[in-house]
Amino acid sequence: MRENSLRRRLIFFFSIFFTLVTLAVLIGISFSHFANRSLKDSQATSIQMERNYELRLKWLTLISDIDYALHTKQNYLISIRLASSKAVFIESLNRYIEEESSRLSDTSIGYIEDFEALKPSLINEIDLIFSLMEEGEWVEAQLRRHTELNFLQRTFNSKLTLLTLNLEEERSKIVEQGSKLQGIIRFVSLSIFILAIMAAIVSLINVMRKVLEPINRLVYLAELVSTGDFKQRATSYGTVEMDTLGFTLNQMLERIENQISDLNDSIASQKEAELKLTEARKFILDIIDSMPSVIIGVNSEGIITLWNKEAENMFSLTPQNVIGKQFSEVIPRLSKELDIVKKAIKSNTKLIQNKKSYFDGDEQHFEDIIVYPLLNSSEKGAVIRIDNITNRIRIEEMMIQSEKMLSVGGLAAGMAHEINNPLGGMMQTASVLNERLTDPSLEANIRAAKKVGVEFNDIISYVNARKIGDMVSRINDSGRRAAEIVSNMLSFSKSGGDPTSLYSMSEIIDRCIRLSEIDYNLKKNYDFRKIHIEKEYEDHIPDVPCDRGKIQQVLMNIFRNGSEAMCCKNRESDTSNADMRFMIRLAYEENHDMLRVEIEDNGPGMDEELKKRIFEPFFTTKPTDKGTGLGLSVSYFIITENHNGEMYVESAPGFGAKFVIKLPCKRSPV
Amino acid sequence: MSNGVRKLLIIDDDFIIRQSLIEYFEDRSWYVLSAETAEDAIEIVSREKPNAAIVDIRLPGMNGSEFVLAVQKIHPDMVSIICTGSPDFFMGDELKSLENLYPEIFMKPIRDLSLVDSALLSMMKKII
Repeated sequence: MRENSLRRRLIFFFSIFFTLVTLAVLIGISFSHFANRSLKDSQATSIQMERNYELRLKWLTLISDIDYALHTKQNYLISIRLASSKAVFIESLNRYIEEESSRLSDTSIGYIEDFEALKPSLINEIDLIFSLMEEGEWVEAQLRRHTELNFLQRTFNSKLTLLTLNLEEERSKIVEQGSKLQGIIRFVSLSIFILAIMAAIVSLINVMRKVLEPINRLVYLAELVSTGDFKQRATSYGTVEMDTLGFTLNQMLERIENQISDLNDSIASQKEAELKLTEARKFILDIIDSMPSVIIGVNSEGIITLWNKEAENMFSLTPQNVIGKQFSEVIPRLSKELDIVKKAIKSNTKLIQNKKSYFDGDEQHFEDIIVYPLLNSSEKGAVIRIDNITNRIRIEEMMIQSEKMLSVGGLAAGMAHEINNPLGGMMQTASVLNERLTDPSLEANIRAAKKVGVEFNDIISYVNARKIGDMVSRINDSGRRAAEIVSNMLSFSKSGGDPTSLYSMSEIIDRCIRLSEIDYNLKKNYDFRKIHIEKEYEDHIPDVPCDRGKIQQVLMNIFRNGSEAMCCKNRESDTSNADMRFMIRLAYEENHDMLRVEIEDNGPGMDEELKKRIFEPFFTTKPTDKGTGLGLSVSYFIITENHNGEMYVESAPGFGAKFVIKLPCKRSPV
Repeated sequence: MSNGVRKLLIIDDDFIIRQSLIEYFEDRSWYVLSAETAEDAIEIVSREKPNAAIVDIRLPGMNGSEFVLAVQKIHPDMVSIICTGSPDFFMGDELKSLENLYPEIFMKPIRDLSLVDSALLSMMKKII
């Protein structure tokens, strides 16, 4: 990994770059050094040339001085001029030799050595000539000058010329060498420089590639991750830094992924818990919904929080319609119960309200209301349980009535004989008495009258005068009433014969209406024919198995009761008979397979107390001479016991009374 | 039918009932016999051979229906009418099959005794 460090790479790149640049610089420096040297060399060569000329000049000066001395032949000149020329020349020669030999040029060395070899003979010759001239031997000196010295002069000149030529050559050589070297150095340093730049560029590209490519890939990865794909991982990019970055990123991603999976796990478990909770809630709601009671939850403010199926059925409102609303607004008829709810919550006790009655249209219903405060709930509230006990109440009432009647029936059966016999004695005797006092067709009467000396017609007159006939018939009426009571009481026994034949209920009703109309003429003080009768018969009413006579008795009883009630009301309020009305409805209740007969009057109606007792044996609101108090109880008994049906009354003061009779359409053993 | 006199036997343990019936039918030219018990009545039937009988059901000792069945052997020509104060009495098949027994029961108190008279007369006509 370390070998692939980007830093190392950069360091490597920069070191190569700097090395190459340094090299180029060094070569450049060396180039300038070499250039300097060749300049120096060429300068040195020029100085040499100067010295060469200078030497030549000194020589010529010396020669010319000698020639002049020879020519003038003046001795004094010799000693002063020649001595200085000779010294200058020798000094110049020595310096020349010294400088030339210090150059150590291979080509020049031979010439210098020749010069040095020439020097003593040259100095000797000059000294000889000098001495000759001093001695005044001019000819000799002249001769020597043009022979020996001339020869030496030529040698010296040629040597010097050779040296000059050599120097020229050397100089041009140095210059040529210098320029050649300079070209090479320039080329090399330029090459190195280009190489360095290329290397730098390549390295940079490499580094850039090594940096940019992973960055691009990381960017791509980051984009993928940003879309939510946490499964992506950075791969190796070949450099430490990028790999470290990738590795760190991977760790980060791993942690994110782990956290996400942890989060998912916790979400899953939370969801599962939620599901279980929902199921449990559903289960509880199912249980609550399956209750036959209305169950309504409210909080302490009376806002509805729970509304079960039965509540839905009873109030025809779905939970969506009521939850969150005020209880008393949703069910105005129970608005008073809200106080009970508050009381229950406050006192933390269960509060019960039994047999609360209310009217739904004209139908009376009963319900038990129980308010349970919710003790363990976080929010204070209560559960209101409402049980519709209308049917139970009716059944209870029916049972109470039936039991009363059965006991009356049992009593009647036991005593009927004992009462009927004396009644028979009384009434039969009264009949005979009446006959014996009033019947002229009986011979025995006439005979007996004659025997005592009275005309039977006189007896009749007397009886009429004393209203004995009426008295006897009153005895008979009383007897008949007593007999009727007994006979009605006897109806309260199970033995009644099963309803076996099928009859059309509408026909029975219509027949009863006709009979009631006739009945009026006999003894009643109201006119049934003036009562308006409305009929609402459903189509397709099945025939019902019943004892027609008994059902007639029942209907007649109801008509009589209703008529009398409406009549009393009218008498009291002094209105006409015009608004007296019976509403008769006949319907078939398919779900119970029962026939339903409703007879509704618009009489004064009944209060609760009266309604409770209406079917009770011997209970009557009429004067004792008008009713026995058995009519409705017998009717009730006929319907419930003999026909296995139902009978009840719905009424409220001022709203008339509605008698409802239900008869099963199926024959069943009684 | 000796002497052309219609004989009627009234059997009832209740004196007042019995007396009222006796008085009623005596007024209508019946020769009225009476008995308090069925046992006495059987004796009267065998001795007097009445044309008709009004029989109470509930009697001390032998009851009315037993009497009706018993007299069939002794005096089958006698027509009978049952007259009772017991509401729970029903005629059994044996009684119903008798031709000389009026098929309906008269319940006490009898409102109109003339109905009993005409029933007896119609029965007697039928038998003869």
